[in-house]
Amino acid sequence: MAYNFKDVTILIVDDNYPMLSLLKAMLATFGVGTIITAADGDIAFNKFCKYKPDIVISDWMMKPKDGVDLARSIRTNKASPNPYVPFILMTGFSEEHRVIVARDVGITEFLLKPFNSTDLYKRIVAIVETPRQFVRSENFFGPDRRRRSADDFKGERKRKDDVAQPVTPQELKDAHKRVDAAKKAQSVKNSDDVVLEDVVVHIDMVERDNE
Amino acid sequence: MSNNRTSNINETLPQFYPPLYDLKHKVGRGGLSSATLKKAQKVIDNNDVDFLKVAAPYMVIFEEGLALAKKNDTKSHEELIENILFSAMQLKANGGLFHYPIVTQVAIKLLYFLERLHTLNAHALEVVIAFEASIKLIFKKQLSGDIQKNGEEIIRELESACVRFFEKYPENIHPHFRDRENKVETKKTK
Repeated sequence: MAYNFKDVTILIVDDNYPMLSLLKAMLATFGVGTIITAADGDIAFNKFCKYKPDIVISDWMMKPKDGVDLARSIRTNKASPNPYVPFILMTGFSEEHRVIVARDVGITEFLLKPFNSTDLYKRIVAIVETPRQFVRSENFFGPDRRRRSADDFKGERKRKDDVAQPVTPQELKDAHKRVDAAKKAQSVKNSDDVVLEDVVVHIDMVERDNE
Repeated sequence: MSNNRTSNINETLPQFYPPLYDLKHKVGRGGLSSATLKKAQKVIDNNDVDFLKVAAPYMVIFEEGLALAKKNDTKSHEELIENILFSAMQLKANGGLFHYPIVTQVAIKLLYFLERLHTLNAHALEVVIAFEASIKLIFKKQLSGDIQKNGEEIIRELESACVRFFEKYPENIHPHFRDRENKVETKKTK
């Protein structure tokens, strides 16, 4: 048994026509049923509203409206029919400060150019197999910017709970208590938000693990 | 559909929405076969796009950016390198997809140089001009396909030019990168 993309609609956006054609041909090879194309962010947003695609794959640098602006519209414009749609941003930039800009408007995955068929496939698999929870805060709406670490992660960990491991009922109870206390105190502002956010994410992860 | 998702916390606090598995339900399981991935890769490998035509508008923007940087000293560094940086990124992004991996490799070095550069002064411009000349040479000689020995030499020479520049003008490394590298150095020492 294999993936069947027959019922999937993907919107691809790039102002470079050869690139657009290449990507379209690759997705067709994957078996994607409907592929819609657009040459800039404005056209793309109109087509997004009209066709309600399952995935958006867009280049970053386009005029007049670029890929980051498109992502912002999809996530926050009231006319957007699906602000939760997975959004893959293609770019040649890999510097951290540029990636952060894009991440902060709600990009789901990055696809660094030039790419090969496996790179593209991996991004699609990530979207299909491990969709991320969404976060809405005062300044952000989009996929949770903190990913859960894989069990086989060997690198340095920021927190004890920065790993997918079972949590005891007592730990869960304590986390709930901490959130309740914070809510009651009504003093959760600015930097404290970060701490609370961590606690809430923690609870959310634990509850899903326990389900 | 997705708009009906409910939050797990009240509205004054950050709200979290559990992930949806709509796509998973649509596509099923099992992934794609290696044969399908190979077939998709062939789409890239066998494309007959003329990269010189794709790159032409980016080279024009590159040259315009260079010309502006040569004569203009009133604009900010960011403004001066914007066009060059954009062209470098496009050349990097497209070269490897259209049979010119050497252009991608050269453009990676150029991007690295421009991103780290604090001020586009006359000496820095000389380095950028060397990159421009190299890319033009690659196009003139049509050095497509796998990177050959002469291609490797070009890349090595350009990389050395960047290293020499930053060794000679360490103050011209952008503070953002200087801070980051200092942090890495401190971490290594520890």
